[in-house]
Amino acid sequence: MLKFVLQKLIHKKWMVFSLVIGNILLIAIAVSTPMYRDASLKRMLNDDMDTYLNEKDIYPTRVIINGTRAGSNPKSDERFDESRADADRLGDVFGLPVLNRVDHYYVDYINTTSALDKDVNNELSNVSVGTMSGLKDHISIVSGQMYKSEPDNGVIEAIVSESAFVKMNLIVGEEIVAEKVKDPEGNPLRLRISGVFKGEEKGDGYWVYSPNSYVKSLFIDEDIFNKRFADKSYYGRDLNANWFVLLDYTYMEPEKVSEYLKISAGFKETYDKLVSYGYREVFSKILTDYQAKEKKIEVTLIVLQIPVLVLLCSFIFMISGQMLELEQNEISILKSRGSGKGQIITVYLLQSLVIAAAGLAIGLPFGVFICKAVGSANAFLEFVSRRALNVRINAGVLAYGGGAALAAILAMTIPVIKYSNVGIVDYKRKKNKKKDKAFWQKMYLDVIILAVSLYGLYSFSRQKDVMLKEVLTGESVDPLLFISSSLFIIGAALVSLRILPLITALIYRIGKKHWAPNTYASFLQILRTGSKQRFIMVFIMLTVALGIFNASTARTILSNAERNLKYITGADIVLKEQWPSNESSMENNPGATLTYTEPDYSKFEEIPNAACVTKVYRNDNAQVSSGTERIKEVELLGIISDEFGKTANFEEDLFPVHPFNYLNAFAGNTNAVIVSSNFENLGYHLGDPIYYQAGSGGTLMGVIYGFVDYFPTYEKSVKTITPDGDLKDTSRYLIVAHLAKIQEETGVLPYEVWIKLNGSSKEVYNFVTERDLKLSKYTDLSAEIVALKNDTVFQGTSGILTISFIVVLVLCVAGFLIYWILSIRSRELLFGIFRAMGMTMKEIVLMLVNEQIFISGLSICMGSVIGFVGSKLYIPLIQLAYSAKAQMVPLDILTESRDMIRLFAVVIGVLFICMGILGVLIKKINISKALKLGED
Amino acid sequence: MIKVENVNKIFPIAGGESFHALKDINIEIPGGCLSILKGRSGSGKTTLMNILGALDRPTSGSVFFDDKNITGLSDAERDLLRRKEIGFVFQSVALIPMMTAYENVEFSLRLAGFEGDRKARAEEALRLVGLAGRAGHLPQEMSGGEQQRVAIARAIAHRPKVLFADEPTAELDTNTGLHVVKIFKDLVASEGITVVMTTHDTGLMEIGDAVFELEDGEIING
Repeated sequence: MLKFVLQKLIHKKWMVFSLVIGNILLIAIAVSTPMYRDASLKRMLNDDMDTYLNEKDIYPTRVIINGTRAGSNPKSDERFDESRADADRLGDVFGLPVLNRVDHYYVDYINTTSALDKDVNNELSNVSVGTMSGLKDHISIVSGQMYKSEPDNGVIEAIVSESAFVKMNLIVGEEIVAEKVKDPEGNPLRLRISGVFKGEEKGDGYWVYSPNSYVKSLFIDEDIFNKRFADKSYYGRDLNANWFVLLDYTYMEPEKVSEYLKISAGFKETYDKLVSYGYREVFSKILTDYQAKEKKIEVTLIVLQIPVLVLLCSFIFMISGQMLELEQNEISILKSRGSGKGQIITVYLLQSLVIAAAGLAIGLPFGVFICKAVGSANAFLEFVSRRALNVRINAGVLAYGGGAALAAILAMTIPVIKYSNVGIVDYKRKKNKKKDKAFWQKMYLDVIILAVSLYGLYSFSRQKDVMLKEVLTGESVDPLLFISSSLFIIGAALVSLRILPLITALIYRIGKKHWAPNTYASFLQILRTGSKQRFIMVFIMLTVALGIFNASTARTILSNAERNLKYITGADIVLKEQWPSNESSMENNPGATLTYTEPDYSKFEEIPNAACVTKVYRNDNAQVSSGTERIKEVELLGIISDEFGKTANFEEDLFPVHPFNYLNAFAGNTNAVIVSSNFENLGYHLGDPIYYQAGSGGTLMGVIYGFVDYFPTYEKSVKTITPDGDLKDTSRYLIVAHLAKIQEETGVLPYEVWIKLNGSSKEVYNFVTERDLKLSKYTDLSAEIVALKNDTVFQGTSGILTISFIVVLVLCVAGFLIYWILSIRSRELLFGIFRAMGMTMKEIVLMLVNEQIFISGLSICMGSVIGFVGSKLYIPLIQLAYSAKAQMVPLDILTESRDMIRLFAVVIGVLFICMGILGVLIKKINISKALKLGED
Repeated sequence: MIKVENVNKIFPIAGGESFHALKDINIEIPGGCLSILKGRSGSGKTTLMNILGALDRPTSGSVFFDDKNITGLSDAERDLLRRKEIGFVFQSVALIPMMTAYENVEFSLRLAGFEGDRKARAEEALRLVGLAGRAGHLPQEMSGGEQQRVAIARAIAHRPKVLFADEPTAELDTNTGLHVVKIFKDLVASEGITVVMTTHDTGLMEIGDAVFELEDGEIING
């Protein structure tokens, strides 16, 4: 049987080839989703941890367990040992390697006095004596020497940190005595400060707390400590312990995140119930934040791939349908000769298994390739080489691959069931019957699908605020939104199948009497064999529409995020220096006013590739007095108009006239202000005076020279989530005034420096580091954009949409060629008749051209319409899913002409190649031979 | 009407050999009557007819159509000849499946550039084959005999000089076959066209005005 199947496959090599391609793509895309998801989630998890480490300088996966063994309570021994055991097994419990383990045991609240006769020495109460494992490898002695491991004449040697040395006012060699801490023989505890140490950072996270935070601690030898302090029969004091465990977060697995959280929560619960025991870590917070992002990514990635997976399945379905159509005769004969339905299905099942196996074998590695491609997507149809993803094939990936293969097998086998029922007699009879409408047309499924998608659009548009709220609280957007956009494309394409024939029929009727014979014949061909073309028409429409939709979605989402970022940032580089002030001395002198010293500004003009530099004073807490009312929520910008015009990033299309017109008018009057248009609602008009205050300063008067909706950095409204979980929309006001005018009133206050670059931002960075400038703010727009593009969600979106787009193009080529080649092959007899009747070759080709125009051409046009309409309708909603915060600049649905040129160039190129191949095929048709075909 | 001089047709076959399908054929088909090419299957009658009808070219020799040598004509000229002067009826019914009986006939008129009332002529042609009442039917809605009659109507509608019919009765039962042949006779009488048909049915021989018998690519009577 297998041999029979293989022979059959070899016989139909081209179709089998396309089927294998379809299978490979389907499986590759299906497996690339979990691969990319896992790899990028792992990367994201690592990045989140790295970021925490870099920002807070705290190792995110360190766990601190602390406990106290009460000297008087024998019961607490057990708990103390258990806690130590907890620290011991922590690595195993979490399944993470332990990078470092430090045990700090100490006895505290020891009151000592110096044996020296010193004047002021009141800092020796409440000291702690302890030992820390591995201490000697992580310190260097700056003064004196290391403690000895044996008491010297009953005196225990100890070392202290630099800060403790200062704080406790010690001298190296000084001896201190704790009169109340007595050994069994009644001798008091005597200690000698043998040396001072400073911590050595070896990058192994040893110093969980900075060495200088041990201001009251004396460190002594471990053995001595164990003999005298840890043994409660000796001094009989409470023993404290800090067990520091440093887990290696690079081994954290994204799929185990909830497990980590659960384990940690378990410890926390236990320890919270215990008095004087504790369990502390910071990673739960990081992991919880991560989980919110993870969900969003998972949903986004899967949902983005659904359309292309559906398209691939329908491609496989279409090709196997075509193949069956060709084999229908054979099937009918088999059936009539007594083959059971089961046998026939088995043959085809076996065949699809072979094809799916081939697809799986090539699809898996190809999926790895796709996954890497997605991981290096920079923007739509744009790839860069960057940190490679660590792609792994795990059980999840195999499950996806298996699922896709199963879907492919079903798509290839299900049509057989229909055919396997048909014997040769039925077949001939059926062949002579007019084809009915498809079942979905009879049931108006297409109309229903379209209606559902539009209803989805309607209801989502109404809940825009709810959706934004969900996004802002870290939820993912309802996947139904994405699905409803796919449904729209599918529904509209199917409904078009009702409309397009009507258009063709109309054109046919207009010239019915006058059509040239070939045009006439082609119209009848199109109109009367409609059902055969349905699939290819839907396919072309889906291809074009999806191509346009994907391209627009990817471009729009990224470019809007970029535009938003650019707008909110204001300029290429925005930095703020730390200004020396009298702030620290104000503690002692509460009556003084805060004054700043302006650092030298002219240095910024020396930055090598700064095209323009300007000062911008920003105050988010300005106020406006309007009659008796006081408007807070005012952002005040103090600018130097000509420099600002050259430096700030203005989006011209956000202004009704060129923004420089505003600045020019504004420049003419020192009192001039440009204000946000929401002041108009408060009754302000052009030329009106407006009274505003910059922080603590006095009131300034401005004359309104212009109203604007947008201005660099100005956020019209701020959407926040209230503690009750509601979305709150606060509208904000803007006043742009002359910097000089503000400074006149308030004095020179710290301002930002905005820089327009003429090249890379690296020079600015070097400039800042070389001069060792202290900055309180440094925003580099280009770096922010890179970060945006690297964001897993954006990157995944660009990557997946790009891959989908390419797959769509490949399918378009394959589907189109196959359909037309088969269409020609099945009509050889007809062409023979036409030729015998004296139709020329040219006329036959023209006839096919006419068919192309009305089948492919109309479908391409319709597909474009669907794609554009779909983009206009759904992208504004889909975009919400990507807004980290509310969109500031209005959304611009972006369709890049180069994407469209690519799409249409490929489609039209394919059309021409196809016509060429068809021409050759037709030329090869031998009339007399073709006519013989009819004798079967 | 059609004169065949020393026509040979050699088909190359697999293995570099060749098959001599027609050997030195010399015949003259008279105009305005029904001629029959007779022979067993494989005798070369269809090949000969395809050459007579300008569907195929002989390997050597000439065919004169109305005293015009058609063997040397270009493809375009041969297309035009088939379009205007020749009608074909094939053994297997070769109607255009997506066109109704009427449209099939009317289509050949369009193709031939028929000047005049195409509708009237198409209906007349259908009436001639006795199918005026089935004009609106698609081929698959008609019986084999009816389809063959539509094919005849289509072949003669544009008033060709010659109608070639290749085994037109082979797939029909005897009665229907006779009916078809009778239509040919009527057409010869009423429209004055020349009909050339091939057949292996000896029962139809007597009906022909002239009979040519082929055996292994050679005319054995004539």
